[in-house]
Amino acid sequence: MNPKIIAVAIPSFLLGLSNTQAEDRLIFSKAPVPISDLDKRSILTSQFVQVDGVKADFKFNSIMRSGDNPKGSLAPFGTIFDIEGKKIVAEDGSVRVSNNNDFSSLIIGEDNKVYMVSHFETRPAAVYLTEIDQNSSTGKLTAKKTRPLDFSHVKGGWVHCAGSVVPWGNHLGSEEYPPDAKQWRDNKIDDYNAAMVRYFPEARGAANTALPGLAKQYMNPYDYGFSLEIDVKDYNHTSVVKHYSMGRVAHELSYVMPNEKTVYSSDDGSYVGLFRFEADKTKDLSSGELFAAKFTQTSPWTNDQERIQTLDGGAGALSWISLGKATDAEVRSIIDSGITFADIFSENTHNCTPIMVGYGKECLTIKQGMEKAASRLETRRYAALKGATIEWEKMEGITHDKSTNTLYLSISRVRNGMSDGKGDMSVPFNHCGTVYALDLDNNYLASSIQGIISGIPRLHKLGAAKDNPYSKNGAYTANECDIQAIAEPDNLTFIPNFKTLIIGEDSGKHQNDMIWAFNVDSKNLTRILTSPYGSETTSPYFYRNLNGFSYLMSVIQHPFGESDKDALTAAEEARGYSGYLGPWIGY
Amino acid sequence: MRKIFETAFIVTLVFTTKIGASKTLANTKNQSLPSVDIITRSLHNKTAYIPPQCYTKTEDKQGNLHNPCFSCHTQAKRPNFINDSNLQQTYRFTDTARKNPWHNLFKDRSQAVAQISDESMIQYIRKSNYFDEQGLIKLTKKLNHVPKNWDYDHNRYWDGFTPDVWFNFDSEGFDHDPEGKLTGWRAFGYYPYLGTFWPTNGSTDDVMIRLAPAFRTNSKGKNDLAVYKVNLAIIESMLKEQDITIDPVDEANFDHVDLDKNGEIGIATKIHYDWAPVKQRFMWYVGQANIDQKAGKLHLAAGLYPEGTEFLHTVRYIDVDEQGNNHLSSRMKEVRYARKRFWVNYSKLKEKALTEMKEKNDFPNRLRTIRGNAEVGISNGQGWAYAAFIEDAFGELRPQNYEELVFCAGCHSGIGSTKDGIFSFQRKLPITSHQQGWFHWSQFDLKNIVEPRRQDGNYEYSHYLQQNKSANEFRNNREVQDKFFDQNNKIKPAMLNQLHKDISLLLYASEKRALQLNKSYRVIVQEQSFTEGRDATIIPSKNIHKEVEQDQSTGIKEPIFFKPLSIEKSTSFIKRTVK
Repeated sequence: MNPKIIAVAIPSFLLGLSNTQAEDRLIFSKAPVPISDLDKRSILTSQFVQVDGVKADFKFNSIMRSGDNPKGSLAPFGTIFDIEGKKIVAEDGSVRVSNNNDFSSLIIGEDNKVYMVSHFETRPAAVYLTEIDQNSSTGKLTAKKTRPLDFSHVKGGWVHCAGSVVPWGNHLGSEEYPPDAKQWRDNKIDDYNAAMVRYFPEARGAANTALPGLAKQYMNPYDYGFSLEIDVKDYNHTSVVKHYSMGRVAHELSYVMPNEKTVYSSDDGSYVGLFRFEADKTKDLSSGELFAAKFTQTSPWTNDQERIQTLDGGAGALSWISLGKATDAEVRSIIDSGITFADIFSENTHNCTPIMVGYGKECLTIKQGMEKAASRLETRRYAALKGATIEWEKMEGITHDKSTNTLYLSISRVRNGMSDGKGDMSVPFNHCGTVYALDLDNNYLASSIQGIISGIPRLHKLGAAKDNPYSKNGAYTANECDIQAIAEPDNLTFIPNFKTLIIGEDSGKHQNDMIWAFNVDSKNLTRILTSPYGSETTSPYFYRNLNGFSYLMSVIQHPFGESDKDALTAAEEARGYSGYLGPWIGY
Repeated sequence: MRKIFETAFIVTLVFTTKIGASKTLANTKNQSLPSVDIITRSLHNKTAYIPPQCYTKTEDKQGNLHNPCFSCHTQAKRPNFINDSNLQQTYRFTDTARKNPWHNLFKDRSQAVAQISDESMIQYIRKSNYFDEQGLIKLTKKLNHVPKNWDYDHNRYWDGFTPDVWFNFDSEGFDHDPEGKLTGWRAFGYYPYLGTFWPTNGSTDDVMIRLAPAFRTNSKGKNDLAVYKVNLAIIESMLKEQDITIDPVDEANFDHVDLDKNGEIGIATKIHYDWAPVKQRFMWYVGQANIDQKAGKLHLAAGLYPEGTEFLHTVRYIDVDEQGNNHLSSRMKEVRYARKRFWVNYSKLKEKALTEMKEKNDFPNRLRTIRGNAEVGISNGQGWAYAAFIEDAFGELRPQNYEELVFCAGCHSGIGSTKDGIFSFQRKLPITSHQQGWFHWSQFDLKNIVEPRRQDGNYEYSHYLQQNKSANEFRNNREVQDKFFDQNNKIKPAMLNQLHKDISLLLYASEKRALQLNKSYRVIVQEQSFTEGRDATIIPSKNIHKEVEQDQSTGIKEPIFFKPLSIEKSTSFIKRTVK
């Protein structure tokens, strides 16, 4: 159906519909499971979406691809700059342009224009601001011009992953997998971390092998690993703030509750934590108290050697351990003092506390007077020393349903610390992952957590009771998690009033990553998109009623081969797409 | 055994001679012989890109450490942005790969091997499967009417590479078709790569390079061999990152490119390597390629091949002559082909390496997705496509299927020791060697080639023997063991002294060993079990892990580094009288 006709049929004032018969009111046709080679290299979506009985076309629309350079832009989308605003140039004269677009938000500026704020997940990283033209009759979004945001006052950006939009309209971004500061103490800086030093002029033109040495000298690991808030006034006026007060972990993302004070942060990796921040003032994340979750299991205790029939993710009660109060300014001045890992902790000394928080087994003692520094710069280690549960695995997306006051949290793989028969937690091992629901009270405090939808492993080694692989010569053979269920859930977003949780995957166990619509009442699960194989769908995020249109934003990373018959594509085919599914007219 | 051919001329003769009217291994038309699905894209071994050598036991029963790992896993030089030297210390496999899928290594083939007579084996390897009895390329005919079961996309057309080299090389290594026309292919001699690619470990081989037409054409649009030779020298200079001596040329005839960078356009006797584009120091191709380079259609950078570069690599059985020299057999085990399909600049290569590093960090158990199929080949993710043919059960060449090609990606990408995914060309023999290093191994052999030295001054093969205490990754080469090591597994210094003067001492297999290796591989061909390993082993290998623990230590404490060879500067090649 032509969206224009719908625009007439459903005007944009159709908001705030009742919650009855939710499962009937938002229907996606099922996206097929790709079977042919061509389909496996394509983006397949639901054919249509039906909102309150009115059908509309449903397809993926690209807004920008990395390397795109609309007229009037400062640089091609994804170009990486150093602290002096110079492009990072390799020895052959080529300019670094990242293909790894990640979360892209839609923001209304103070000038009432639509902007897209886009993460690039690399190091040195970049965040681009793109001015968007929104077609007033079709809702189509087109990029007008783009520019990188200046991060020089915060020593650059690091691996910007997922994000969210705060209730007061700003972009809330993340820095994932921060560098382990212990490598600086031990002078064993790996290439992964040392890559960041290219942000500084001292590393300009340096050989690759010289980077660890330069990183030791010119890069402070404590500059990275924070949530960042971006306020867009207009195309030329923006502010970028790193919220040091919210702590330093492998931020997948932070998500602010409707009270505009409580924030939940997910921590990506193995042996990680769940964090909550209580801002001192509403709409101001620059100071507050940080908490880490303690999990007390209420579901049966299992271990990863067992195979459980019902892989429901388990359940438990949550309590919260305070990591103290701090302000952005206080933490920034601690960083600026040149503090090091060795200043904060002594290791393997008498009376040290053994922990395992993603850096192998360690035995640490906090040095005197270093509590605040530890709480904000070594947040996960500090939380473990304080007794929080640092056993979660691949903690990814967070979203919230206002109507039931439920927080949703995805765990890509339920394994390692979550299922090892040790510690606070040992729930059914399931490599295909689980999405959990957290019940919140009136103060948005989560007190319990339980799995609501899980992937279904087909193989014993992934958690199945017995091996049941797809037929070797069939089209599904490369899928090790059942294709009719989720696999390794990643980012989440909620479509309010329609009870619909959108679940994106970042999976090696489905050959093609999928996006699903899950009705939390009816439990109907509908596949709405499959991405080209080898690619990832990242950061789906729902925007309701943006000037009368609703969008499901999403990014397709590493989309090789979608148009190439022989799948051996040119390099530019790896350029990520930032785009959206929809739009829905009205709603 | 008698050497079957020495020059391309004889090759043609041999192929027009009828061989073996009696029943040979090749014409055993037994319909029950196994065949493989060529067009399937499913993987029986999901980590076929991890070669069997990676499962070697680095620690022996006596607790001695063996490190063959460094020959692939090392701190690379840009624009190879991989530093995988830590893989010398840890078996860092994904969960899926922890069980060794290369089952052929553990099979006992003694009986099957014993059933093959020496005569039939010799006859078999001396009969070409590349040329027919009229001297025409068999695959060309076959691919012109592509069999249904080879046609991956069912379009009745072979979309991949059709072999077009005639193995008819002149005194400069250029290949000519039967009408005498140049095919563009140019053969070169090289120092065989460490371990597996030494004849004594199973196979002989050869390599040829061909540049895109623009490199063979002058600025007036005419084919021009002088232009081609200069462009090849420029590319050799870019890959070796050093000056390359050339026959004197007048730069005025080559688009006024100052090849020797002496500031004047005149007679040049070398390509001077001086490339630093950020500092405005450029190098230029000549001829049409110069025009295309200036237009941004073709690219030049140290360590990278330009668009359209092709390599052909044939892997053969070992033929041994009466003097004990190892030669290429007429029969080919494999015809391997690579083509650079598009340019990937330093920034993109760096970005790609950073992304892969992050992916390995975030998802250590995630498997690589290798793109491609049997017809067009597979991609190494850095601009190259790799495709290949291998023997069917009857000994005829057939396309390798997807899984057999995924095997190529394991070495031609993702490791620190290649240059732009390639092993051979940076190891091309120097100007002081036969035909300035531009020859085919059917024209000259490995005899009396002096041992190459690494850039740190160490003799390369000696260094490998000392680090690995064996001639290959599997430590199953008894012949070299006995020759180079004493009973206490200590290297014999006197043998190293001889090796410095003649690498064939190490690289050649004896006639007896060659026969055994040929036979054991022949059994794999009959089984068509390449996806379980292509290594010529007879008895179950003891020095290979059947399974490794997650992140199991290799016992190696400090990684050692693979170093490029110091070739042009060295005088290590003794020029012999041309045969």
